[in-house]
Amino acid sequence: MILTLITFLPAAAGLVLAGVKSESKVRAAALAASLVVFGLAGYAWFAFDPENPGMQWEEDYPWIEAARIRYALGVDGIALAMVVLTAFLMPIAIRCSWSQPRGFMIALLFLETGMLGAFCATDLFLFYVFWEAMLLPMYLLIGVWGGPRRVHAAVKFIVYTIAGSVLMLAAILYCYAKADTFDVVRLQEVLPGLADVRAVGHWLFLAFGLSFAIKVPMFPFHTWLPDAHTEAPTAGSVILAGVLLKLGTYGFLRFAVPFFPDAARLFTPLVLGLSAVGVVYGAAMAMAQSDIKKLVAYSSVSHLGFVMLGIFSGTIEGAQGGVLQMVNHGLSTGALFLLVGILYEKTHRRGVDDFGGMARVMPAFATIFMIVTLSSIGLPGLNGFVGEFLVLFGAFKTHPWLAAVSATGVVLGAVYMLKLYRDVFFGPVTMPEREKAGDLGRAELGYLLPVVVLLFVLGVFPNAVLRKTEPSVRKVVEKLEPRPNAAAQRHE
Amino acid sequence: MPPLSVTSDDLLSILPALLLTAGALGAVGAEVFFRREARRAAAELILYASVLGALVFTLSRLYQYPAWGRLPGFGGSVRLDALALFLSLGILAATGLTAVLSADALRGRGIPPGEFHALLLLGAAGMLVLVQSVDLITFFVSLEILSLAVYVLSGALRGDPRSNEAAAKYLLMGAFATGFLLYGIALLYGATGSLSLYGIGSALDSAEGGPSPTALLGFALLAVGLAFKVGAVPFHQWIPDVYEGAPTVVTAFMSVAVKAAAFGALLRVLLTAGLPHVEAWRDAVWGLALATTVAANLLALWQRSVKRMLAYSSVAHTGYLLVGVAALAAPAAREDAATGAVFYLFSYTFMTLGAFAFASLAGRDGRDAEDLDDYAGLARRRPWSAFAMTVFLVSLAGLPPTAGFLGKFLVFKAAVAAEEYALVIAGVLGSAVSVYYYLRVVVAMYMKPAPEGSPEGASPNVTMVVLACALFTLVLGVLPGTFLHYSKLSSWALLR
Repeated sequence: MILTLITFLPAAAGLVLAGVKSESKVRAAALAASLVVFGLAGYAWFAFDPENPGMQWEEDYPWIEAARIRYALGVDGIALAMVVLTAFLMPIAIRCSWSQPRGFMIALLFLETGMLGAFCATDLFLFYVFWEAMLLPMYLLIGVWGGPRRVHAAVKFIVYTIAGSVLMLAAILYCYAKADTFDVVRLQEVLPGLADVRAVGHWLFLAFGLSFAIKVPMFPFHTWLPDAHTEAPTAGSVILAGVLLKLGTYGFLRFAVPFFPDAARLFTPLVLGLSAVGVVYGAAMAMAQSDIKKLVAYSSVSHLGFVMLGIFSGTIEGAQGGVLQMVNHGLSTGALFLLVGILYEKTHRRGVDDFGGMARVMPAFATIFMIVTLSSIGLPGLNGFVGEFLVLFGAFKTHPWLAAVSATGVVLGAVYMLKLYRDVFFGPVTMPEREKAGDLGRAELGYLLPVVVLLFVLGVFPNAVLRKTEPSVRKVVEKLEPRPNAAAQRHE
Repeated sequence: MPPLSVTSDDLLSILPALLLTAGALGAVGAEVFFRREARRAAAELILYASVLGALVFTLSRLYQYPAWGRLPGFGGSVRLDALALFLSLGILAATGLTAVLSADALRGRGIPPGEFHALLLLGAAGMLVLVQSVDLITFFVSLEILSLAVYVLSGALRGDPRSNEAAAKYLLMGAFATGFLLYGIALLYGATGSLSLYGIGSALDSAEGGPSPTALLGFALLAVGLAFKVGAVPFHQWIPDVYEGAPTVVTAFMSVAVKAAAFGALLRVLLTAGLPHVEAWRDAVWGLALATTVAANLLALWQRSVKRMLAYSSVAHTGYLLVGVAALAAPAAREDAATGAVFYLFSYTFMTLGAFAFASLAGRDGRDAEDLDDYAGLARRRPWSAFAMTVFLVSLAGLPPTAGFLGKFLVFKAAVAAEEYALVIAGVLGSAVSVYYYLRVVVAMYMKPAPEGSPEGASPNVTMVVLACALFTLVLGVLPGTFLHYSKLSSWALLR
């Protein structure tokens, strides 16, 4: 029951709020609803049994019986980590959009239901419903409340994503036709053994993989991301980077790899290669940006490349690092987008060259920006370090050359982030009229501090996450390990 | 030949159609016998009473369906089974909603309400008989009744040259299609000596060495005639012009009710008369389905006029439905395919009717909305209706959690089970393309500023229809249980 509550509370609140006229009441209620969801998710997190690799808090009811579709929810460690991340970021996203109208809040709440549902669904049909249902709110967030080129960005976002997911729909139907069930856990057990599915496994993997790769986004399917991020309102960017992209990597972990392990092993070199290219390419593009928001957007491409590298490294360290990086990136990049949003709100500028000496003008802002920057580039003691280290450690074991190439991404990351910091915060103060911009207010500190605290906590106690995700991650890694006796098994 | 006597069972089997016909006569009578001031009220009263009566009968019949069983009538010419009842439900709902819409759309345009309503009811009566006819003569007569009514309706705006053009085009093309159809019927009769669909089916089944060329040609011509009516590529050319030129209310009615009736007839012909010789029609339907999904979606991309875009979208949906029809060819997928197609037809009614209803709401300066620019900024002026329109568009594009998604899902699921992978891939890619053109309307409504000009006051009738359709579109997508059950019963009525 708790997962249903977590998933549908936001949408229910959104429905009710659609009838409320007062803007301030809608905002307060939206924040309250998202905080309740966070509370419930937090409870689930602490009550979760880390020893059990299976699904927990399962719910299973018949839904559309004619097509044997069930309303089935459940979480393992990976899904739960994502649920908590989503529930944590959402109140922050709502709080940072305090000046937005009620439609914005309602869209955010529906978006939250879509994302949480996609993480919790253990019925493939249900997953697809949530997966697609979250697109429309995001589309409206970008298209209605975004920047000057919002329409272009919104259309690009939705057309890219849907183009990817329709082929997944065809693949889902094929899996159903052969396995006769939509139950994800059952499919994970059955599909790898079905001859019909194995015969076209690579096509099915590509159909699922394409839709997830677009979401991640993996190079070369990333081109929608910089536009969407740049034009989206702050809350939209935070959620997009923090949660939506994770659905792509989550999709690989939950569906693409366990469903089609043979094909996943076959395509591992390709995926790893593209990931390494993405790491370096994203970092190089970030170095070249003059718009801070775009810079952060490209850094996402680079960081998500690391996540994919870890997942497909075929080692438990790498995959665990990848999952940890999913959380870390959600926090660090989410925080960066929040900071860029605050800066833009106060100064109406976003260009790197527009700023200088901001450390003197906004000292508290500069401090937090520094912490987040250091977390993003992986300074030991902060969260980013552990994840990156584990990913590279795992990748070195199996693919040393690719790991070496990707490691340059870490260096480049430090270069562009520190260069950004230097240009914006140090040097002479440019634009004297901006001096009146003022430092962080109490409200802004209120939603930034929880993130900063978590950056430290995860830096020091990464095990808080790793311990709960390990059993489920191990199950995925086993599927990717090269199996010399795979041929023998086939004849069983 | 049984003696020609009409029993009460016979009358009961076509009771809904009889009610509508009586209503039509009453509506014309109202135009003659009532004073000018009272005419509108009288015509509307008669209209709603007859539609409601037919609806109540159909619903009660459907509700008790397994107990009451199917009801043959007129010596086996008609058969009121689950398919007929369920499609009738959709047709009657569409008729009722169109009637509500027409109250405002007709005002001040010089269309006598009695005449319009009479034609609407006659058309609907023809559809009701068409979906229950199992005899080619009844089939042909009812198809002509509905076609003639709709020809006139599409030209209802007598002063508007485009409406005239629409009616003329529709009539000419339709007459041509009728010619094919009639010729096909004649050939089939000649080849098999029977007019009953079941009789034709068993004659073909028992024919030595497969069906004769005459029978096959007859079948092909019959299929061409029906392909015209449902608007499958390459027989779709009349659709954009007629849909655009006809008054928007008529377009709404035409696009959903005519399609439901014609598809119902197509399913019945293929599954009763045509089942013994699946291989005779499988490839043809396959080709039509592929051509329709691909061409319609590509053509829709280029439309500026929303009505034309919706016209091509209607063709595209014919394509998705034909994917389901093609899946009927595989015995393993047959039941699922029929269920999916019937569910699709039913749910299609509400999303398309709603979209056209909204198009009549979005009008400005006394005309219907056509161009995308007419929709600019509507989300601010009419947030609820604009949201409803978004639901229709999302549903038409086949995104969850709407009826359109579930319908497509069921049809494609059956097609995968039938191993028609090429059709499914064309279908899903077509849907992806369609997202672009459907969402252009959302872009206009939500992301463009409203232009200058005097927007028409929101009519409560139209708003009501739009919201009701949106509700149905969502309910059918999220809680489809009952309707899927009826769809399943319909497929059993065809197959068992």
